[in-house]
Parts: sequence; C-alpha cells; structure tokens
Amino acid sequence: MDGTRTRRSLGLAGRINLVVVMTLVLGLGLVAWLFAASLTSARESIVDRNLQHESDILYLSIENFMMPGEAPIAARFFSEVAGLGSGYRLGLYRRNGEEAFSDNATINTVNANVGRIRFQPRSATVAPSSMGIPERPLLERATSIPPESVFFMWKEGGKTYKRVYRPLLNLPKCTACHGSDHTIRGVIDLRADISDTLRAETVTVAASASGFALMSIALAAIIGRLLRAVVVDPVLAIGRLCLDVTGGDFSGRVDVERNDEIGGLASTVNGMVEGLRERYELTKYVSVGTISSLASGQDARRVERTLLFTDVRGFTSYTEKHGAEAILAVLNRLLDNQAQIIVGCGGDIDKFVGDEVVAVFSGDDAPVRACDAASKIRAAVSAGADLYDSLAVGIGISTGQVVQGMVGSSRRADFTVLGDAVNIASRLCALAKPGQILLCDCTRDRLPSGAFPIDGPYKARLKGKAERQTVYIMTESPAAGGKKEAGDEA
Amino acid sequence: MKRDGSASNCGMLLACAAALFIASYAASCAAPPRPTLVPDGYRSWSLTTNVRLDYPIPGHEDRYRVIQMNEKGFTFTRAEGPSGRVDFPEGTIIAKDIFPTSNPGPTDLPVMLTAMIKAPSDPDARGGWLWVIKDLSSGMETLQKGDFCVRCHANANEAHPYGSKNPGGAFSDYVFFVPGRQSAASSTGAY
Repeated sequence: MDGTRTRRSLGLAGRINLVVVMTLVLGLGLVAWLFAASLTSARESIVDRNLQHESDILYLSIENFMMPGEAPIAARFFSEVAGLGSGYRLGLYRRNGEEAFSDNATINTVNANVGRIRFQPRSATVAPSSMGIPERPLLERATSIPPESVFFMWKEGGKTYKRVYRPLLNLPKCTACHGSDHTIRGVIDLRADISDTLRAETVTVAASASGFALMSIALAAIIGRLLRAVVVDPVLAIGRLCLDVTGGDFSGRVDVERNDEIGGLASTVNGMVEGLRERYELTKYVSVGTISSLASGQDARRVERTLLFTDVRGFTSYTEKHGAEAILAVLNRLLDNQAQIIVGCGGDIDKFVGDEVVAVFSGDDAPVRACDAASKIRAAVSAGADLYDSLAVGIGISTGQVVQGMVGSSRRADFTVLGDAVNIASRLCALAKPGQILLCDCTRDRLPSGAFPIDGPYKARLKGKAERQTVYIMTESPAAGGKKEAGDEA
Repeated sequence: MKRDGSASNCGMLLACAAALFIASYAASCAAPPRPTLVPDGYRSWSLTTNVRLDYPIPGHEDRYRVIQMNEKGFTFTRAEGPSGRVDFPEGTIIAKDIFPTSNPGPTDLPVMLTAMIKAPSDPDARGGWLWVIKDLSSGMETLQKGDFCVRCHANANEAHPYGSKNPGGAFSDYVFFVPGRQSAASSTGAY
C-alpha cells in the first residue's frame, strides 16, 4: 500500500441515472407504501365496521331477549349464532373474564335480586372458562368508564382473526334483575377470520409492489435514455470537441441544434472553437514574437538577437518570364520550406517581404541555430531545384543589439526589431550570391570553433557603412582560412 | 461554489415555506376549539328534582348527585293526552354534580360534573344532546362521543326504575327526572 487512494468518480450519466432511479424508487415506493397502507386501512375499516354492526345486532338481540325474561332463549340464540361458520366465532364474557351462560352464577344473582326463583339453576354446569392473560388488558379497556369497543388482531391455530370486545352495559332497566352495583355487565367477544383476506391483501400488495418496481425500472430506463440523449450525449460531444482542440484539431463542431441551455452551450463552444481556429490561423501571418508580445505586454526593450535574411536571387527576372500562378506557387513552396526550417531551428519568422524572409533568433545559442537554419535552407533549396525552378537564395546573418517592440500605428502594428544588426543582416543578404551565406564578425565570434565551415574573414563594403565590414562566408565544406578581400568572393 | 450555496439556501427556504403552508393548511382544517359548554354559575340554577339522589345506579354507583337545569330548560313542552311526550328546547343545559361519596358532608365538594346540552344540530350530539364530563379540579370538559351516556339515558324514554318510573313509557327526551314528575319518585322511595 502506498497510501494513495484512488477514488472512482461516477460519470455524469451515472449520476443522472442514480438520481433518476433514487427519485423513482422513493417516489413510487412512497406511492406503493401509501397504496398498501390505504388498502390495509380500508380493509380494517370495513372489517371493524362489520364487526361493530354485528356486535350491535347481537347486543340488541340479547337485550330484547333478556328484558322479557327469556334468558334461556338468549343463550340458545348465542350458541346457534356462534356455530354459524368456521370463520366466525362468538363469545360472551362477564366483566371478570368468565364465560357467561356456563354456570349458575348469574341465575343465582337474578333469583336473589327478584326475591324468587325466576330461573331454575342448571343441573349440570361446567366450570366457566376464563380469558387468557393476553386478553385481560383489552377486557379491562373495554369495560373501563367510559366503556368502548376494543378492536384487535388475534392469531390462533394458524389463523388470523379480527376481534372486538363490545361492552354490555348494565342499563337501568337491567338493574331489577342484575342489581345496580355495577355499570358494565361484560363484553361480547366477536371474531372474524380474516386469514384469507390478509392473504389476498398480501398477494395484492406484492403484485402491486412488483408492478411499481417494474415501472420504476422501465421509467428509469426511459428517463435515463432520454436524459442521455438530451443532456449527457451533447455534454460528452462538447468534451470530445474540447479534447480535439487541446490536440490542435480545430475542425470539429458540436452538432446540437436546440433552443435550450444545452443548445446555447454548444453554440458558445462552437463559437469559441471557431475563434481559437482563427487565432491559430493568424499565427501563420503574424510572428510568434508579435503574438507573445500581445500576451506579455508591448514595452520596447533593447536585446541581443541574431537576424537571418534570405532573398531569392534572380526572382525579378523570373517573374517577368512566368505567369502569376506559377510564380506564387514556386515562391510559396520556397518560403514555406524556409519557414519550416527556421521554425524547426527555433527561429521566429518576423515577416515575409516579397521573396525575402526575415527571421529572428533569440537565446545564447541563437547564432548557432541561425547558421544551422541557413545551412539547411541552402541545402534544401539546392536539393529541391526542380521544385523551385532552379531558383536559389542568398542569406545574410548578423548578431547584435536591437530594439524590439511594437512598430506601426494604433490600427496596424508589428512586433519587430530595429537596429544596426538588422541593417547589416539585410545588407549581407543583398550582397550574398545565389546559395551563399554571409555572416558578420559578431555572429562568427559567437560560433563554437569548428561548428560550421567558415571561410574568411573578408572585407566588404556595405551600403550605409563608411568602413568596410568584416564578413565571413559559410561554405558547404571546410575551407582553408586566410585574410582575403571581400570583393574577391562577395 | 457560491451558486451551490445559494441553491441550497433556496431549497431550505422552499422547504420551510412548504412546511409552513402545510402546517397552516392543517391548522385551517382543524376544528376550532369549542367554547366552554357548562357555565361556571350553574349551581345557581334550579334543581330538577327534590329526590335525594344517593342510591346506586349504573354509571355513578352510589355517589351522591345533585341535578340542576338552566332557565331555558324549564320551558320544556309536555304533550297533552296519553302520550305525554316531553321535549326540551335547544339550549337546555342539565348539570349533574357528582360527589365522592353517597353521604357527603357540608364542606365536601363535587369531584365531577356530568352535563346534557340540548343541541340537535350539533354533529356530536347523541339523541339531540351533547354529553359532557367536566373535571372540576382542572376545568377540562370532555365531550362523550360514544353511546355510553345516551344508551343509559335512552331508558328514560320508556318505563324505568327511577323517579316517576315513566310507567306509560312516554318519550321524556332522555331525562329521567322531568320537573313535575318527581312526586312519584318521592312516593316510591325505591331510589
């Protein structure tokens, strides 16, 4: 372990899909939950209401049997209703939890209250069954003051019941037989088997949840695909275009024709790439020095530079003999080749003046690179004589202090160099014969010994200079040195 | 980043606004609280019966009871003839003080008040009456929306063991002790 953690980031498409899926799962999950809850609530409401109505009917039935003193009929009625079906159970409990109609306790109480044998005690009785412990709190709740019907779920024998404890009041008209010392006589215990209903409800909820899940997946896929088409793909296309631009390819464009934010972004990026392309194209016409000066400021400064001038020899007479298209074709090939060599040697094309190239080299090894460029230009032009209709160039190189800065008007200016070294390079170029490279002594002095085959020194009269100047000739092969008159060679 | 922060704040504001809207909407849907149903001066009202109500009955056991009714209640109507139907006017309040024992001393105060308020159009009315239990120590009134009170008092509309016993089973508007009938109760001495 090097302690470096790589964290995989989720892409835009992944994030959008994640948000979509989470939204759908939460949204549809909430809907599914509400559906299940409302289904359960509706079922419970219906079951409870039915139980309440049934217990009301039973209550009134018992009350109406009891009042005329027909308790045995009430007991038989109760017994028969309890046996109506397997899914339906019925019980009657005293408030102490003992099952009613099972012993002589109530009969004895009634007989005592009315002061006579109103009902004959049962000859055979069974011990009253009592409620189980879990039911006691519910019984107490149902028989508290004020009493209330208590509904609850109950599981027994693998079945699920909905039960209700319906309190039986000791009404004033009941007190003659049952006494006035209590308010609640007991409860009706009515239970309905809802196992099948619950099973059907579970199946319905499961089917609905599955449907919602499938719908979530389908919607996520559709929305994800839609978002991919509407958002992700255009963004990815914009990203690819930016990568192309970074690699120098300005030809691409994002094809998004829409009147929305993405369309606006694509249009802006296309405009930006077009602007970058135009600026890139501009570098062909404007020197690197000009461009860099725009970036770094336009203050003039005095610096040492090596100037390289080339000029096509006999070009004026060539133009008189050839058509314009042929002239431009040959000239452009010639200038392009020279420009490539100069740039390859670290030089900056300052300007093209007709068939003349003006290049500037900077840095400590500027004279070496300028001479290297000149040598390569001469070799290239010589080797490509067929391409250039046997035209040749003369080359002048000078090194010295120059003033570098913006020259021109506020509307049109060049970042160029001025000074004696520029003039000398220009004069040397003018003096050079076809295929000849002339160097000033300042350049020669800055070349490592033996780096180039140099012949000279020679003395040459340059226009604008009162004194004859020391000049060297870079030959194509090493030559014996010796002081000569420039007029002999140059 | 600023844009994210402002977007988050905006979301919070929207959430708060939504919560406030839901809360205010829920509050507007909630039923307004009821005014006090039984006025404090009810003990100055006239009694509905001169029977000493200290015998046990379901609902109140053997705790001593005193029943008062407001003036409007005494304008009840009683039909002529055999039916003898009794109807109390809307706005009738019958207040029943419940004492802690069957034989309270002169300094003993009631612990609870149960009341019937005639309000047939009230959705919470049962048998045309609102049934109220008031905790006299806290003053809290609880409306009885179940059938506990009305089910017992429904016996007043048929023959019953209290007061006049209503032997003819005349409709008595859920009131056991209709003023003017208590002499029968006095004579029975049963309750």
